[in-house]
Amino acid sequence: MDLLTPYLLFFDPWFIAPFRWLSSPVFGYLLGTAFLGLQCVICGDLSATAVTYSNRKYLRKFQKEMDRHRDLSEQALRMGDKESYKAVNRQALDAFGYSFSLGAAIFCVSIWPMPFVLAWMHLRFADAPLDLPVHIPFVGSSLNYFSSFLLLYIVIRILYSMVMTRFSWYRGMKARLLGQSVGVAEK
Amino acid sequence: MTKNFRMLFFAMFAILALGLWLEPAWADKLQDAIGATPQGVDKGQIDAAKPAGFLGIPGGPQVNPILAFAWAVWCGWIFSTVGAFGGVMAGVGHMTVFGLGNYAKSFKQTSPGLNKTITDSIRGSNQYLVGLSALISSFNYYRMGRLVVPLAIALGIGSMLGAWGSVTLTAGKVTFSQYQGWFGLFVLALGCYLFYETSSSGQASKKKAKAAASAFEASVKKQKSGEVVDTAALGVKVTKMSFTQICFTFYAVEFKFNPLIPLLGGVVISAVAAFLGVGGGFLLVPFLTSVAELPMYLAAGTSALAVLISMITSIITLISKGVTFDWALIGLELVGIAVGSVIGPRTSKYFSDLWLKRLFIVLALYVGIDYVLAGFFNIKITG
Repeated sequence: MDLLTPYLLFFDPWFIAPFRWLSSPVFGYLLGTAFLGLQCVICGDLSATAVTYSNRKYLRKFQKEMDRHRDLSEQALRMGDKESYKAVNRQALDAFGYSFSLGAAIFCVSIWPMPFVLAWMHLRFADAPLDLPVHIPFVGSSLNYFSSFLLLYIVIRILYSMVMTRFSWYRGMKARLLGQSVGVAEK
Repeated sequence: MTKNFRMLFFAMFAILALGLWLEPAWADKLQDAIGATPQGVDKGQIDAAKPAGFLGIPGGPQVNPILAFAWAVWCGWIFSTVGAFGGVMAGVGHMTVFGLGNYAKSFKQTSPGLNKTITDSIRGSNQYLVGLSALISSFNYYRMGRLVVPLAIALGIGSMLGAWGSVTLTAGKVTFSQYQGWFGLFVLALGCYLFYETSSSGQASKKKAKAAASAFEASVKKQKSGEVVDTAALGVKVTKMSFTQICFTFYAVEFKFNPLIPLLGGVVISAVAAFLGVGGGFLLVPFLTSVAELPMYLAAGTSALAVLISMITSIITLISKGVTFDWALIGLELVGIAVGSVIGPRTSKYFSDLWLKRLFIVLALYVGIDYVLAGFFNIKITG
């Protein structure tokens, strides 16, 4: 989509800067890609939180339905009432369908910066894969821009989640938005 | 990190690394296909003088960004209100609304290789919009004890085999018409399922389950238990593991299943989802709850992992076959979905669930019949 190229070029100085902070091309590339990944994660998390906030009543409605039917199905299991368990489980499934789809939409929101970053990386690194200093089993001796970005993005996203959930204000905020008890978010 | 978490974490990275080991022929396949296409200005030819369009192909369709954004808003609205069909609508957008299907078809006789390469890119683009949601939810479900690990592994292995096999066997080999035909058949099946749900027997079955659930809830409220339940002791506990049977308890009730069933189910469902680009998530949960009678929460967490594995496998396999994606188009669509998912909940109160499903039955029949006729029989209703 050529129409977006001018916008990608507008951000080019900002995106390319971290790649030039280190003298080593390999480590500079890794640092720059990691920095891009971190920006994507933060931007995505802020966007997903904003969308979750604007949909909080709707999300809480389905969360409440699922919680109610979960508790009931567990009660039915404890009482050995299989027919009631199946009936209640079916209600939970209906509520889950809506929650799952909305969750998928919110996840799409959390990764929206990624394709734009990949489009920029295609402009810059499509013909310049990262040559690794050693041959890594199962990976090879070079990595194209998509593979290197995706791997680093996943690591950074997991680390980001692990670090941020240590802060009680972050855990509490996420739990309140979804209508969950803070204890659930802490697990 | 607990031992199981470490195992899960590294297993997922092993899958990614395995995919990368396949040494993706990045963009080579597309360039080869472009090189093999006759040059010229007629239909089915590439005019090198024209500006680059879709996938950077000279003279390729320039997807109107406003149209792409608006259609993505529509898909986001569907995700957040209907609870299904969002991925299908995204596929319809790629194939029909943006004109990419017709463009792929134009090379059917002159450059079958380019026809199939564009088809694979469309298939992969459909997957991005739904598949990766399992990435984070899997970890969350595991942390909340809503994951049956042996079941997830059986389902995950089946999903990986199905997705890898489906893409390996079909990448570069499926013409757009064939893909369109099979997509239409899936949409028709979905329409029939939605039709059953809204029919009097489907509604009666739902009402019966709802009445039973309400009756049970009322009886529970009447009871004065006063008991203190140690919920920590009632989570998922695997009690037996063998190749023919896996037993676990949940809330002190024993569940058992033959691991072959989720393995084969995972193969079939993820093969279909990987081939079409849609349908993995919403098929897996009903499969688990109906076949294994799992509580919904366990089915949700377990299937999220399987969807994750399936989508990673199919996307990596597509990339290893040299399929290219239009990142800017995908990015614009994600933003549109964000907007649609904000609008959707605000409008849901104006639409009844039943009438929304009936609307989608009509859409499903229209799209399904159109695509089957166009794909398999070259009979165009709309194109």
